[in-house]
Amino acid sequence: MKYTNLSFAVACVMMTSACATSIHRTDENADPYESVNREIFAFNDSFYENIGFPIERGYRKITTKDIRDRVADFVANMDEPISTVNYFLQLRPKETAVSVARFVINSTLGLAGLFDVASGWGLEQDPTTTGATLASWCIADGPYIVVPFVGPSTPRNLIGSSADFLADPVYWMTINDANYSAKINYPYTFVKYTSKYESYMDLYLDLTKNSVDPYVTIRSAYLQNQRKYKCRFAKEEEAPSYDFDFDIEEE
Amino acid sequence: MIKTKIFAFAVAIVMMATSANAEVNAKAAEQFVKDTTAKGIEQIINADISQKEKDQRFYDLLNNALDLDFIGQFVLGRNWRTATLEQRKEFIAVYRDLNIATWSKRFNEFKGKNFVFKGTTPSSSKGQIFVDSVVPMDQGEPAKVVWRVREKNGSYKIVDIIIEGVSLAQSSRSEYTAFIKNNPGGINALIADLQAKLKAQQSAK
Repeated sequence: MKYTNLSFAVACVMMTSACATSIHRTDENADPYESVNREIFAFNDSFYENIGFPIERGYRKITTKDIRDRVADFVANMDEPISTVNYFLQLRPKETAVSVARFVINSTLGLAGLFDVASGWGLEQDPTTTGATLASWCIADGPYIVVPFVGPSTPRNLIGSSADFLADPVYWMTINDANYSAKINYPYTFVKYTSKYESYMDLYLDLTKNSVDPYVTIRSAYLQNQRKYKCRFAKEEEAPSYDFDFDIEEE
Repeated sequence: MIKTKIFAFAVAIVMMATSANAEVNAKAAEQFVKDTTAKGIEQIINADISQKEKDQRFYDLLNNALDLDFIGQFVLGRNWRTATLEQRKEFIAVYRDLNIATWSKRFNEFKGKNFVFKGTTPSSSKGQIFVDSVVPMDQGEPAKVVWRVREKNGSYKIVDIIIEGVSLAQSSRSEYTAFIKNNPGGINALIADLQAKLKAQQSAK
């Protein structure tokens, strides 16, 4: 108990604002750089439309669903150690153990990760990121930003995703040899992001197609999704984050 | 001292009784969502009927299951209060049709999949409850789908669908509020824009 109080106090000193208030901004002050963000959003939208999505459509054309599933499983397995480390840092022993077990099972019985055998055994895929770890340690997410080429983010998540990018095992395996780096790391990175963004493409198009303001739709979806992350020291209510009030008059 | 204890006990009993009255029947709410999704999957998506028949069945199902008047009011936010009766009527009409068209398409994507229900979570909003479900995907983690259900006079209606933590009602509310704020045409421009989107969707069929 004393230890918990002490760590809470230390955390409060380190992250003063986080303990007093939520780590998330309210809708009204979440986007102070809206005009710049809108310009980058428009640039990204045109980049996706003209370069990103044609690559994804090409990928779908030259592969079958089964091949794409194998690629996605392989990439997920290569990223599993990142989840393991992050679950450990989030002090979540059960999830850490599941993640280790998934990596061991899928790397062996799953033929180097090509098949997600572990999911079939009830060890379901549930990746986590450095951004989530920082949030669990009460680092506030900061203002909403749109990153060129990448899309919606916040300063905390940008630091998190940069760390995840650099923590890629393939990057470290090939870092000491320029030849391997060019032959393995770059093509792997290309395939990895093509596979990851393939599932986002339909969602992005679906969300923006019927929207009267696609910028706001994507921002709203991103910020709502971020609210699932909770600061481990804050005494936030247990109610789901989407528990808002329908404060309208009854007719 | 004893008096205080008796008083506290009485207050606790009254409060318990009141909260029990205010609670939504969790089982009935979950059953309602189960029935709605089962109907959608069995009687529409998997049924061997024409697309026209499917569209009609979807319209009837969603029109009955979703409280689109209520959602429509919520998504307009404070603009609902300043809207004229005519604007309200026009907005609800186009919002209803656009949502049903969009949802029919989304439901179709659930072909071959099933909702697995995981119980309910209480809501702080009066007469409402969350029904939790997941949809196992072909690949990767299952999608979390939460249904916000509202009980009124013993009947149930869905008032929001929250997919992976993203509420459709809240997203629409942000979107429409921003549109009205940034557009000199206000609500009329919003209605016109939604009507154009509905028309484009209908002609694309």
